[in-house]
Amino acid sequence: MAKILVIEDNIDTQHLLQRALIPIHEIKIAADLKTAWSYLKTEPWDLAILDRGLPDGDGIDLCVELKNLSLHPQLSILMLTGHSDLEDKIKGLTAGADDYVIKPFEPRELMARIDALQRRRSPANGDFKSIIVLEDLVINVETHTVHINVGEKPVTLDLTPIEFKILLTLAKDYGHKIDRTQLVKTVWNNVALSARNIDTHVCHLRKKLVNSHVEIKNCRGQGYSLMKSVFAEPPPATKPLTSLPFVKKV
Amino acid sequence: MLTEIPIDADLCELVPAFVNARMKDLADLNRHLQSKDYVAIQKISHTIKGIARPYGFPTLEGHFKKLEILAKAQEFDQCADCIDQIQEYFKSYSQV
Repeated sequence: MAKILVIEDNIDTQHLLQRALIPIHEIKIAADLKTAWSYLKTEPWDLAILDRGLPDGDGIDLCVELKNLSLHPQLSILMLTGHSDLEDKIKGLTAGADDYVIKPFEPRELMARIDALQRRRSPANGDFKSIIVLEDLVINVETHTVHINVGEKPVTLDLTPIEFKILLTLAKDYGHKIDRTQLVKTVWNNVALSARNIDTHVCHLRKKLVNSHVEIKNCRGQGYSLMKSVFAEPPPATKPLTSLPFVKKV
Repeated sequence: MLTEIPIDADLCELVPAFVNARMKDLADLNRHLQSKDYVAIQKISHTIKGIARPYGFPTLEGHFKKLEILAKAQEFDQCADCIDQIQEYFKSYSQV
């Protein structure tokens, strides 16, 4: 998980980034350079996602200053902008950006680029668990893929980003209940949602897990938990009956 | 709410707010055009061309890409036509 500062003034883009990044990463949003600087000077960051056209200046200037000041030597900068000309890309990368992504962006590609930047920072990060294995379910946090180990050939589950986030949140507290409020906060970042909305997403996810040895249990309106399925154990082998006890011999 | 192309289910919740914000942008674009503020038109177009597709509206992306170029060239009549096309697009969208 990375601590990411998103420097972007457009609300619609902020929403897209929040949906793409939470809850895999911890994010904070600054809508202008002044706010961004106040966050940069007071907290440590792993990555800054930086727009160019900000209300109080060009993101490139912040990029240059950050590199000159060496304020956060470990900080990676990913420029996310609609400026797509070759000269703009060269300008951004020369200014110190570690990556340059043109809008409109594909959320999965953005996540992959962020993961690549993080790997470069800490190639053998022992604290970061990139694979979570629960019974026959394997969750790859880096590639955002989930598969079930069935026989020799794993079966990949087709999950939406929200379904992945729900599963990951529950998986991190495997066997324990996560209440609805906490789930909404973690997955949707405090966006007000109806219980029905959450239940719909969980219902879809449940169906996709039906062939797995884990299941999502509904804790009577209070929340959900991910746990070993009651059907995970094969039924005990029974001896074949050689005679029916109640059949009257003729 | 409908989109032109399929988008992630969790983004669907944001589509109404996106569409409403574009209606406001349309009003601003008309105002900027009347005062020949091409820089303001460019700025709005530049922003929307970068977000229209993820929200499910690739046609809008095309319109605003074109409008940004026309505004940069200060082509009044063609900017007006382009804004009319965007207006028509939203009119037909709201009738669906």
